[in-house]
Amino acid sequence: MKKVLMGNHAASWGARLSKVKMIAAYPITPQTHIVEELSEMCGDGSLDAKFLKVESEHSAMASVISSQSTGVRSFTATSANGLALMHELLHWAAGARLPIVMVNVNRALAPGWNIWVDQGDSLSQRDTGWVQLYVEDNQEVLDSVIQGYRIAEQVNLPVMICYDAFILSHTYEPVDIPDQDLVDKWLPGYQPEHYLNPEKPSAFNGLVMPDNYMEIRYKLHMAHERAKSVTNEVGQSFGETFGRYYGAVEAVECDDAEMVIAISSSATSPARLVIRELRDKGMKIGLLKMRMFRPFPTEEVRAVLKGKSKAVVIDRNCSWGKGGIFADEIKGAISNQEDMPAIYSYITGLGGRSITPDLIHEIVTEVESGEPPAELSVWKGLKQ
Amino acid sequence: MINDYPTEELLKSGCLSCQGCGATIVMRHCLKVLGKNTICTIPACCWSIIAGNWPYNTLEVPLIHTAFETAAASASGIRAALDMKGKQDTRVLAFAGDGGTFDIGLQSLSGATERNEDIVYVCYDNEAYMNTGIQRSSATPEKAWTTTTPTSHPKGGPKKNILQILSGHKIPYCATASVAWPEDLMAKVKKAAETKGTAFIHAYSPCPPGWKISSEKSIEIARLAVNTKIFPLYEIFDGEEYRINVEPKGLPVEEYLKRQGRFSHLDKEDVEYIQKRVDYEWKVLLQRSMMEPFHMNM
Amino acid sequence: MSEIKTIVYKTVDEVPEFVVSEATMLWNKTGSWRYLRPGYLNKIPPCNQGCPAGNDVEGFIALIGEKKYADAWRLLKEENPFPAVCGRVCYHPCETACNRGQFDHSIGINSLERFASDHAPVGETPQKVKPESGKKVAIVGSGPAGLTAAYHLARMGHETTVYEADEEPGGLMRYGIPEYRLPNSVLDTEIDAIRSLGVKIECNTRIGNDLSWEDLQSFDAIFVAVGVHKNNKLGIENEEIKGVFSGLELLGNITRGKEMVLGDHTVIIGGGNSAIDSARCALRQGSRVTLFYHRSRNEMPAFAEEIYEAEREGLKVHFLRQPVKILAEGGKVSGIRMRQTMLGEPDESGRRRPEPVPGTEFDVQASTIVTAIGESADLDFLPEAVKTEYRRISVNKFTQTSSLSVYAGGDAALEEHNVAEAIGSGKMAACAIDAQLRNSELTESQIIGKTGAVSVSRYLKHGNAHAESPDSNHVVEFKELNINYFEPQARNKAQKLDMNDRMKGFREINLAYPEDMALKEADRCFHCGICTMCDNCYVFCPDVAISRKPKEEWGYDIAMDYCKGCGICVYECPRSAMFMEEEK
Repeated sequence: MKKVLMGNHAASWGARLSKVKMIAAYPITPQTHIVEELSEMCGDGSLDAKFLKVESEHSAMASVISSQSTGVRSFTATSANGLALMHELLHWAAGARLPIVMVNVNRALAPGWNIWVDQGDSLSQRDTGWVQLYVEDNQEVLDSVIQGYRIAEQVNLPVMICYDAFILSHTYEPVDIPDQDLVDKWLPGYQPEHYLNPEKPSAFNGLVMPDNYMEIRYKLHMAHERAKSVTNEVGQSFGETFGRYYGAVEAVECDDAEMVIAISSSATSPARLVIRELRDKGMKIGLLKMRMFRPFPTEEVRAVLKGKSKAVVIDRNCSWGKGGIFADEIKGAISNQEDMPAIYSYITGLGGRSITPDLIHEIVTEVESGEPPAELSVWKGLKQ
Repeated sequence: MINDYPTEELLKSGCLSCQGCGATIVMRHCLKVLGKNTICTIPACCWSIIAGNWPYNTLEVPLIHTAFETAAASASGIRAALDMKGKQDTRVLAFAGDGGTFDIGLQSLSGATERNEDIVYVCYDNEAYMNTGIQRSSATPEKAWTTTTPTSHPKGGPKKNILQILSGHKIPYCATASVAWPEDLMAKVKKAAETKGTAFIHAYSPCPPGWKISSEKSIEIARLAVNTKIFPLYEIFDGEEYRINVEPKGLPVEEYLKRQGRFSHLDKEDVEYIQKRVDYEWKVLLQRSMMEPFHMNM
Repeated sequence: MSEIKTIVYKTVDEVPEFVVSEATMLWNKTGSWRYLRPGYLNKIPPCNQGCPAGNDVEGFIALIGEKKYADAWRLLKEENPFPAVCGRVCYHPCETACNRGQFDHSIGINSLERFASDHAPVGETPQKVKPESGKKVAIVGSGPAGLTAAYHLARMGHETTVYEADEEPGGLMRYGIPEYRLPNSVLDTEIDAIRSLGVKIECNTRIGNDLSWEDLQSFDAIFVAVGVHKNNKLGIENEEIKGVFSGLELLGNITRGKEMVLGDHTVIIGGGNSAIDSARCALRQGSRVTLFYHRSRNEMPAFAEEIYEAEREGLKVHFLRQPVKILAEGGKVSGIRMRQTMLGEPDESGRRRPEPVPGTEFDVQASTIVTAIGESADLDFLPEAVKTEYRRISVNKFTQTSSLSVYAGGDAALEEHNVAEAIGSGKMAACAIDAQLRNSELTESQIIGKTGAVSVSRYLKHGNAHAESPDSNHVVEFKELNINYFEPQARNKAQKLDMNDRMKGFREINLAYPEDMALKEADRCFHCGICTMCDNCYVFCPDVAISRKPKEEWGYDIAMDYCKGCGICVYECPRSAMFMEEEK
């Protein structure tokens, strides 16, 4: 069934099709439609779930952690400051190894108040132990929520699906809504190994002494290592069932490319346009869509970039005092590797500024001409 | 012999509480009433330690340790999950200290109470951050010594009245309770468990190391708190109907204060001031207990 | 519950993926934190120490509380053959000792004892507690001391013969206490029970007259409890004249049913119980009665309650009056000359000495004069080897006289003259004689508390649990109780016979507690020092280290593996039935 949905409603549909049983959320622009729609779904019975209208994002995550610990598939959604408020509990969710799926609509952090797109909110949750996927369009929003649960429940890690404020959240696109029966077959009910059960009383998240803490954390790290391949397998399997294939990264026209543009989220789409145009003009250029940020797809990035001469990384974010975060991560992934391209880091589109095909063209031209220094992030689109 | 005293012990020996710990007695009695079919959530507090280190657990009910400010939110999540699983008969107990209730956890408690979540929230009040080493909380009594309110500037301002805050939410049931009145405490836990909606119990729980009392005096101090009217035992139904459960003996507050190291710096004026405040608060409570609740006027 | 053990993960692969705790904390033996150790220890309630007869007062009250009335009586009978007598005539120093007296009002122990004895199973006699010894014991005197000794000696397996000079056994219980306080039928029942144990009571047999001291030498031991029957004289003119009686004479005559014509006004001289009893008997004979006592009310030795009742019945009491001479007319009493006294310095008894005030003489008309200023023993029959002092037989605390195998007790040997003290000395004699005859041991540890009577049950147990710990004989003081667990509750007062019915004859005045009142009164008992299984220790233990013993057993177990030694259990014990000692 095809429907024209805004990104937020695609997220709601993803949760509905995943048959989540518990939703706890607190409203924040631009996430509100997700919870409004879910509230309607719970109200009309199309979704059999409890919707907890909590008093903060902090409590949203706390209650979702506890409901998931009680053995129920749980969902929440937030954005920006709400995500920042959850920060402490993001660690709890991952440390408790809970397969929660959360949607985060990427929005700039205050101050000053800004409700528009920016990846700084979720990227600053890098080390909380969550799997992070950055998605490109409304269809991928829906598909990724469903995949998120498969990934999460396979590796016992929480998964955050991130997409851009307004550009996706408030924008209508035709979205194919998979058949519920098919989803049910592909995503069976949640069967946790451990859950709060009076018939088998055990304590969760207790005090871990130094003699075991490191091992426990090593296990968390290894779960992330597994999550890379699992994400690819799940994306492949999803494609086999639903016809749309996904992976940790997507490489477009990269095989013979000399230059590669690495980009994420909705800005991937204008980049696809630019690639096609430049290819038409005979330029050997490719595109690397960074869908997964955590765990970082190091092997995939290396494989795509190997033998290229230049890689442009366009970041809609900034790690203050360092630069573009994806660029930094990619540099880290290829360091100590032979035959790797020079990395050109561009920061642009912060706080809702558009990333247009023209802007990407400009960047490619700059890099091609070798003007910018490779070691610093260049702020593109500043008022001159 | 107390005839109907439940003999099942869901709190087992070997737990890590200090000698004479009031909070442990509160837990023991709560679980005796709530029974095996209970899920307990505990935020950061003494009980994070008392319950035992991983991979051990001193309770024979499932327990989730949760973040400091999240007891009520966590309980809400458990409740929601249980309801979705059709386990409406399983009880949810949020068991938090005064810091996690009066201070950092007040928001989530307010949220859960306003939503009228079907949970039992028990705050064991030892009147300071004891697990971290006796720092003042908003439950610390006026003029008391703590490590962050040394005798050069003892705790200023009266103890927060948590029941007033909760009754302002029109919570179906809230009550004070004391380790020195175990049968009253258990009766209140039973009422709390039977309450459809949020029930809150403010359980007075002496802390021998934190209050600078010897461990055998735990119950004695709790008893004096009631008998001096410092901590009256009462219930509030629907935020309106007050019921005082124990007639205090009306001993002077000095009897309570002089037995505790945390008050040893008080002079005569301090004691007089505390007496006046206690008398005033008692008068207020008495007047409230005589008021007809709203539903009786309808 | 999972297995009790500690878990050590040796390799990273062994460490579980999840922070989920499934093992118990029971491996953590928190008992190692303890430096003080609690324990249960039943101590001595002050009433038990305070009872001169050595009754387990707390014990029988507890049984009444459980509605086990016959068992309460049986427990009393373990120590004392006369609960029905004591329940009526004892001056109950136990009640003075009772800790509850410092809280509100002491327990009505005396009335409860009466209640228990009223519920004695008809015809039941306590059993013997030791096999036959083949030894013979002679007892001189069948008052409370002699019969108590006989009772316990018989139970301990000795052939016991009691020699009584009077026509019937009982001594002053029969001839010195009027029936309105102690009906003969009550006394007879308890004496019959002693007889049924095989005790021979030879009445009308006065040693020194009917049998000689030497005749008793065939016995293995002799207990002398002849009481005091020689009336002390006023030492004034006309004391031997017609119409002058001693108190014992008056009481004895009335008990024996002899007709007494007292006339219109009887004057009693004296302030002891005999004086009051005489006065009340005289009142019942229809005479007007006036009592003169040479000291003030404070010094009066008679029981205050008896004085109060006598005054209610019409007795006029005048203090600070002393007789000067008995006035006679026609060979019989016509009055008495009295004079006023004032109190001077205390004498050897500690009471202030009455001194005559010159020029204060006055005459009082009287038809009868009763002198009741004390009695002393007639000890002429004793050989020299049995030493006496101040007309009392000299004994040590185990009732032994200066002569081997001769023991003495009761009023003839004691300073205090009352039934309970006499019973206590009879018990001591029985234990001491048994110890001598069986070559076993009687020690001070078998004495209840510091100042109490000997406990027969303790003596029989011989080094029982009490004797093992030095603290166990500790008498619990009021300040050792946790009185927060007790609510003030007025003492239940037993009814007394209506004044109109009272004066018509010698009907018993003190009425028994009805059952509901007895239960209420028993419920007031603090049970000082005795565990009642109130559950406080168990309920308050933060470490779940205390548990009730299995159903059929009494008390609690402390899991020392886990007790942290906080001391709450001991502090919250309402009745000081626990203790705390340093961990070794």
